[in-house]
Amino acid sequence: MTAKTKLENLHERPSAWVSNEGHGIVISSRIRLARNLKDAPFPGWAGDDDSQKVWSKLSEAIPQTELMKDAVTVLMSELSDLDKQVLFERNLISNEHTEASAGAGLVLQLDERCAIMVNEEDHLRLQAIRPNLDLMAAWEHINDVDNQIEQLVSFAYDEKLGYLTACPSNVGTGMRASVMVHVPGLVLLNEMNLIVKGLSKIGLAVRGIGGEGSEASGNIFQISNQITLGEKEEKIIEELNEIVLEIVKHEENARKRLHQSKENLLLDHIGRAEGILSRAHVLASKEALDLLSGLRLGVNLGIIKHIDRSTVDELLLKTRPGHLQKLEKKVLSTSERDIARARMIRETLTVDA
Amino acid sequence: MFLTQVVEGEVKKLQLCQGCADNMGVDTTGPESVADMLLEMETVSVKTTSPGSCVSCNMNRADFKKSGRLGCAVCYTHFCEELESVIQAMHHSEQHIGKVPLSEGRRAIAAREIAMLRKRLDHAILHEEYEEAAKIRDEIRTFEEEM
Repeated sequence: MTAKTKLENLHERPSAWVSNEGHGIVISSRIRLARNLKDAPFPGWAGDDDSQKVWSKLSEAIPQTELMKDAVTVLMSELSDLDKQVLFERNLISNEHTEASAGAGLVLQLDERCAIMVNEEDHLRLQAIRPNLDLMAAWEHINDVDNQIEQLVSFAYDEKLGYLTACPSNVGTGMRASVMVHVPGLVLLNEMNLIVKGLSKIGLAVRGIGGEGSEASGNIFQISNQITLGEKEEKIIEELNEIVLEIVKHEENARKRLHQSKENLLLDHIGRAEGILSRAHVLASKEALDLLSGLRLGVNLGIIKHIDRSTVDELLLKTRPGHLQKLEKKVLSTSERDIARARMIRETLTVDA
Repeated sequence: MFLTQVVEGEVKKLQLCQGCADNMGVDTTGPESVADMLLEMETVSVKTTSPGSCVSCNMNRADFKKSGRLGCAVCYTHFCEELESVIQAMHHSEQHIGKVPLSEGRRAIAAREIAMLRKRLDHAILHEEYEEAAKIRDEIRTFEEEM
């Protein structure tokens, strides 16, 4: 199978973050490192020739490392728009990277635990993903990959400013640690807004499911560090980890309070979600996401027993536009997608019942 | 007129007459406020004192302002003056203490260790833990000898 075909079939596989273990409040943990080559202009400023050269160099070097030797290497320009959309929905590339400028590529471990974007904002954006709250494991993995690549190429580094990045906001460690949390309890009790405000005060960024600039749908939030200079990687990770553990506690507490004093509200929220999802014939992307969030809460609380969490999590992914069209094997208009989405969810939920 | 100086984190105010100010070499034609100063910097940098484009990648100040992204690693040296305040505002720090590439060798690692120890030293002095401070100073010396 060629690299391209392997990537074309990604949508059929479960994602690296889908898991039935743990409490499910933390969906996934991710560490991303920004790195640049010493002697080449940064991608946003480089000419097409320079970017092609960077791609040639890195696409040759990265697969020589022990940890990435089985990885798939592909230029964005070789992929269809739909395949790029699927990669984006699986958090393997950024939205900007789908636009495929010269030399923009991806080196991907097919278990999706490690992905390297080449010529995005920086020459290299290395990331490791783990299910649940496991930032340290993701850091150790990506740190090893980084060490191995570094033996083959020279990175732009300064004793004072650390790793040099295209944007000064990433300079230093070049590291962004982020955690995706599902907090329907806090949203139902109108307490998440306060937490989001608090988090931004202590220098953490909160975003929606689609990354930068996206709105929070499905009660899913991404929390990440913003400061990359003046702290050690491990310290940044530990601090984020502690904050996330606090949020998990708050969410568990919110669910308890809902159980005790607002049980009807809780049961209604979950029941409606399950009812609509099992019977609807037209479902827009955002509506499906919000309802799947309610279903997921029901599964996590043991109120819904005939479905497991990984089924819901896979639906969260497979009902997004790119995945949906890949699974239907054709390009669909928005209204056609809404019908296909409702059908897929209906079929999945009734088969499992 | 008043002269306000910030010396090692301490604000000092002096009352001066124009003559004394001139004698002390104080520039009294300067901007009145920080805002004025910044505004002036803006016009100056565009009009006259622009040191030109980055010697390595040819990016100029206007390009950087427009995109917020630098052109290459050398830009960090070339635009270091304005970057310093930008970076300080973003990260509340100006010194990397994290990972050092293996290729940078012992020197870079020692530099990183010294930077970290300096941070601890400041903290110790601030909290009047002088015994601890002395210990840290010795450690810094050891690393300095290595470099």
